[in-house]
Amino acid sequence: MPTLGSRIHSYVAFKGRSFASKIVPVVSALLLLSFLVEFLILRYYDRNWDLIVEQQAIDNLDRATTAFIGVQRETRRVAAEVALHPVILASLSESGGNRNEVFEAVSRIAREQNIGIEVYNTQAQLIAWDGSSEPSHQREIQIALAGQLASFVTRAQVFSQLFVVMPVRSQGAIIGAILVRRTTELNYPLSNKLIVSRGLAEQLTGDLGVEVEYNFSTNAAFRKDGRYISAPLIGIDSSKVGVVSVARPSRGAYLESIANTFHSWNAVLWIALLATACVTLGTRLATIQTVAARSLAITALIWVVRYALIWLDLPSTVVHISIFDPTYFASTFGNGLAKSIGDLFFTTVALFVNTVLVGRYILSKDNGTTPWWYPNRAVFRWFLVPVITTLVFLFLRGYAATVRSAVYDSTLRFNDPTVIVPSFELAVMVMSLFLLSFCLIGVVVALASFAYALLAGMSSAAKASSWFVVVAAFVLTAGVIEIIPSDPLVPLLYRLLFAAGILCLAYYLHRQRIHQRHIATVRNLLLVFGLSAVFFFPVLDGNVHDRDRDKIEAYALDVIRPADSWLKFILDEALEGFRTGETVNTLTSGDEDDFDRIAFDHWAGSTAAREGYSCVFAVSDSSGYEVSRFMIGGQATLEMYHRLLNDRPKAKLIVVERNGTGVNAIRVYSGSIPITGDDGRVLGYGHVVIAAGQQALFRGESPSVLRNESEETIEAFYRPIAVSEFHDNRLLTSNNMLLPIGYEVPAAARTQLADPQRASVWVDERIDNTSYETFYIKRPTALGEIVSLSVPQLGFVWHLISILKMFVYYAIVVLVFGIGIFIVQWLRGYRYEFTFRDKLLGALLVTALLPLIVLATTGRQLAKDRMLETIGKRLEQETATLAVSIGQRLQGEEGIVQEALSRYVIDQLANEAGADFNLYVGNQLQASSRPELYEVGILDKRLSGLAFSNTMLKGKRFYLQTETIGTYQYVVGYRTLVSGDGRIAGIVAVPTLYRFEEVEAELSRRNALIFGLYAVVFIIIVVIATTFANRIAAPIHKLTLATKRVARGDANVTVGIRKADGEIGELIRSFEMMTHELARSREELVHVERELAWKEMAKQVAHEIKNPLTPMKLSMQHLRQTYKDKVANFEQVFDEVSRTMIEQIDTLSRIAGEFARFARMPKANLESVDVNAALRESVSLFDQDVNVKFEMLLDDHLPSVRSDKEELRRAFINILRNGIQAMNNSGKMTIRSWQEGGNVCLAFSDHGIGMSDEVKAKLFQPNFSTKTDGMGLGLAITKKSIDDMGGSIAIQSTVGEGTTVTIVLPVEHRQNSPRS
Amino acid sequence: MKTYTGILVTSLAVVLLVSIVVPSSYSQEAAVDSETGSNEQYRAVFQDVQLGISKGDVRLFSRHFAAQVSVNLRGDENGTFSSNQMFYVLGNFFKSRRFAHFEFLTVGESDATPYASGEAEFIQKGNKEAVQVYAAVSFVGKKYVITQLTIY
Repeated sequence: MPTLGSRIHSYVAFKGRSFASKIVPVVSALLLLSFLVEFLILRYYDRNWDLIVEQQAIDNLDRATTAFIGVQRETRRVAAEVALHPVILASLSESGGNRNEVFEAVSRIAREQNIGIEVYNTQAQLIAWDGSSEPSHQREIQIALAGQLASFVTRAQVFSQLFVVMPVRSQGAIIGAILVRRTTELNYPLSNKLIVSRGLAEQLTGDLGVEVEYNFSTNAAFRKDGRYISAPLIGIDSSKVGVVSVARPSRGAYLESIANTFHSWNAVLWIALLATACVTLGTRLATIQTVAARSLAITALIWVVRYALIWLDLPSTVVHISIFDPTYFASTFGNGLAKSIGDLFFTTVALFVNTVLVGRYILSKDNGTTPWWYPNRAVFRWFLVPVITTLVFLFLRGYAATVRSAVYDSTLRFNDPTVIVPSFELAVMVMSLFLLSFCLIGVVVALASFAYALLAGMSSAAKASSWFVVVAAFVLTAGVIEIIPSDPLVPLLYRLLFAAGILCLAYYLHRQRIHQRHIATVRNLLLVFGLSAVFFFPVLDGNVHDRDRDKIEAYALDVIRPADSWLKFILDEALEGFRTGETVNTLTSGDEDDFDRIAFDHWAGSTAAREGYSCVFAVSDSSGYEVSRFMIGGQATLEMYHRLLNDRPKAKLIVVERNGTGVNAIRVYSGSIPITGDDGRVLGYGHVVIAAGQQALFRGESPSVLRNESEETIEAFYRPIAVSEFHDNRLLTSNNMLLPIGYEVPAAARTQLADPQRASVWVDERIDNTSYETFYIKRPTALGEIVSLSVPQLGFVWHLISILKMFVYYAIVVLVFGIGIFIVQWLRGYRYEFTFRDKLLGALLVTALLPLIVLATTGRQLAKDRMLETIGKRLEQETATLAVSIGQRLQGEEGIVQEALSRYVIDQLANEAGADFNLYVGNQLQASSRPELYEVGILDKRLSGLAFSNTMLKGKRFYLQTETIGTYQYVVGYRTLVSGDGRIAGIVAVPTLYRFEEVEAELSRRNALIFGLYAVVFIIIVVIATTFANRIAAPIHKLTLATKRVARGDANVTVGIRKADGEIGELIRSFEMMTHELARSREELVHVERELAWKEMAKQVAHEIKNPLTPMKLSMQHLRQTYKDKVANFEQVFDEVSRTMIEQIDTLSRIAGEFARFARMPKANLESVDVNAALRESVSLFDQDVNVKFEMLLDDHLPSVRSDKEELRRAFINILRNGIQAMNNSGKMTIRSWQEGGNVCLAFSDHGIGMSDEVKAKLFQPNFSTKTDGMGLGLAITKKSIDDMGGSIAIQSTVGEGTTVTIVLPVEHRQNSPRS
Repeated sequence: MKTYTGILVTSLAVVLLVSIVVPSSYSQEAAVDSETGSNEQYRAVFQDVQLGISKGDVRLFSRHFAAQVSVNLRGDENGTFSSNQMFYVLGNFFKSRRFAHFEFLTVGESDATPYASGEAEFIQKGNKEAVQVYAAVSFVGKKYVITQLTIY
């Protein structure tokens, strides 16, 4: 029966023409139609643009207005829900409720809805809150308490927020008011872990493709610029809350967006067209008989398709996912073959498919004959061997170059121990490199086998001497490459090990071929995968290490030489930024509310902000009085700024100063610029101070929390980098606390740096039991000064975890491939039967892994809890220290917290405690060692509602809370400051916010360690489970094999296990006794059968001989009588008698021949036989001579069988002849072939007279025939032939309907040449 | 015997690929050289950059990229990328923007790092935007290469 796979194949192969002839024109027509429609639409829009633009602008404005109304409606809905909350209602009612419960409820809702909530009582007093406190909205609360609903928008520093106020009613009476706040707009282009929200304008600008602007200022007006149209934004109380303006779409941009839409649709059609053409062409190419031509054609097709995809920019045009982003990886190799991770993946998949298909063609057609092009002259063959070995190492170099490019041309973090689950991009990249490794190993092993074949000839016999020569050629080439100037990219040792691995695999496969075993097995596939992994890890590891060092060298250059021109450029850009019309307007208007914002506005849009420099942005009026200032980072900038304020230059002025010495040195870039009005009058001055230096590393003053996310900073490196400064080889300063005072540059580094030509050196050193790799570099401008950057060496655990992770990734890749192969095999009709061992292994793994997974999950959670506990303890200690210090500063005087804690004191306290802190009085922030995030409104100046509830209301001395800002979760420790009379004077809070990199790194390290530990346990479990399953299942497996041999007739079987005990041992012993008994019985039976056979044979021979003897005897008697009677026509009688005698002797001879053929089968000439070809040849003998139509349904992908071709043909002819005779030489005969598991099946169906069961039972008996002629030996001989081939023959027949003869033959690799 | 014919064909196909790989394979350049080149050399680099940005064609100056280039593009990418990545990152940037005008106004040398800065205007989705361009070069491997490019 044809399988599903063969059906699909035949559908594609035979119906491909009609499929292609229908689909390709349809898709082509759609494509042409799409081009035409695109052209017409673009022309229409272009010609009628003036009409369309107005309508489009109105539509866009409508959408922008509706979007705001939607946000407002949603906020109102949430406010209504809060107002009906039972806990809140209870707390505001006359009976009063538990205030702590209100805080908890408010906090829960606020977090779920990502909003801020405030609850007021009828006296407009704040009862509970969660979220920002600014600005105060007493007027609006009074409106709500008067029973009105209201909404309004306020613009804070960073965000604009929509507020909805609503009265809370109980039984008709107003018992309080609710205020709900939602962020609607982000006012500055800031994006980092703390600020992740996108404003409405940004969202709509992206969606509509035109600029959208929301203006929520109190005096917002319509834009007068003709490019925009504006509309008022109305609040829920019908008051105006702002203005939205939308730019009119530009003709070019609009037409471009339409063209882009068509481009995406066309891309889909192109893919469909390409896929159809590819399937059709591929199916046809696969029918080419010559391996070389087919391989070349398929290779060409694959790479034409690949380049077509690149040319059409597919699928990245349709699928917008990160793996097509060049910022993750891009290489110019092959004109786009690896222009992104996705493209590299498609390229490696193409290469993989190419390698597998060609390999399959080669293996399926390998019949050991010598090709026409095989060099007959030995000298040419010897010449080709070094060419091949050179080729092998060129491939290796190409592979190493690709891995190197994958590391160097990417921003991916390979082998990062703190990362457990790889990112999607990293996973795809690793998968691509694995595929590439697989292709490399596959091709190189084939080349090594070819080199051997050139030396040993095409025969499959093993010639050890040829292998020695091949090994020598590989080793020699590996060595010769070392002396060639070009960088081989992998070291000599690696090349030698690579050659050894390749040659071992090639030799192993060669041995399998000698023993006529199938090479394309799953085991061999896994072997190649395994070898690919072995050779992949070191290349990747080496490149990652090299890249780490390159990065550290780059950081070192930054440390010793700040980019002067770059910083001047940033300063210049920042100063020029003050000359905008907006600044001039603000200064002219004299609105002091707007003054406050100027400095922050300029900072937020500057490169200095994006790069995260410590800086001051300020504006002074024409008399030098400061009107606006924003500062972030260290004190150095402030000091410089105060000096700068006195500057009132007539033109832009830039000053660069260097503060401090050595690694502590800071370069301060400062400048001022006059801001002039339209009339040339000086309105004020813009001032900018930027500090650059390594100092940030030592004081923790890097304002990284406000910096746009980037991994290319010294702090973000995945291993902690310690920076140290040396003078005259002695340590001056370092942020590595393990370095002892007086530490000297190691002798190895000193010696090398003494060379004036040498500027830097890498040294491995060990300090306080920790190994470091350190980069020493001379400071070029100062004699005797050396700077070093050290990173902890990647120890054994690091490598172990990296390899384990790679192992897991790799296992996933192999598993995916395994499933793919399984599906393909399933489609082809192969059903995998799970053995006892498989089931046992599965059961053991499930039993062992389930608890492991539970333990791992629990362990991870425990580690996280422990980490939080540690952080909690640390915060408890730090807050306690701060509480004592602050208490001492206050000297028992209460209520003067703010006066007592000046900025200087705050810094001093923070330094003493080693932690940044905030101080709250009541629920308001009074002081902070890191005020900038509070000043710009990113963090709330009001104490968290839950913290207030737990400390002030519940009276807890210490309270730990996890808070969230943006995507970052951090922990804050709150401690009450208790005054002398026992009252709470304030609350000191220490957040881990400023140390999130440190906390995250620690957590990642712990996770990685847990992962590594469990991965080791996992591997041990797999190894143990496999070993046990093998050991337990081995006797059963051997017993099964022995049973199969017995079933095949071999009774002289032993299981071959001596040490088995228990039930299995008993079973084996019983089995062996049984087979022994069976063998003995069989011998006796054979003896009896043989006697019977001889008797039967003798009887049969006698019977057959007697038939011709009777006419012979009668003829002779007749002749004798004629002679005696002297009959006249004696001569005629003699002639007749002699003719009869000759005829009877011929009959005797024929009888003897038939018996001889039955008794003596010729020696089988085993060879690989194409069954379909043998069938066609056999049928061709009949199709001209008889009136029978032969229908051939043959599986073109049928594997070959190993048998005697002539004998097989004779068997087919016999069956065909019987069928034809059964149909009286006319009718239809169907012949089918297909593969079923490991067997080739054939069926011959005729529509003849059929047979009864009685006849069927005797069909294979010698001497049985339903025909008048013949000896009845034909089917007996056929059965014997098929049996000897290890196959079987069966007959199904129905009287009057016809007969089907089914033959099953084992495919070639499973056959055990029974008669050879 | 078609076995080895197939191997030969496959090998030829892979050789074609490798022949492209090997010449373009990455070789890590040394850190900044202590010596420097002439003014004309880096001015020529800046001229190519100016022409490339004006025409929105990264191919006109991609050969000058250092192994790693620090880049800052308005409304687009920001970070340190390899020269190969830069080719596509800038290519994508130019694809969606048409530069109306660009000229380096300042070319100077400071700390052995010659730089040039200027102002440019580009049109994106019909909107005209003014940006400042900053390019810095370093002398590496006997030639000046672009180490930093900012279009912001």
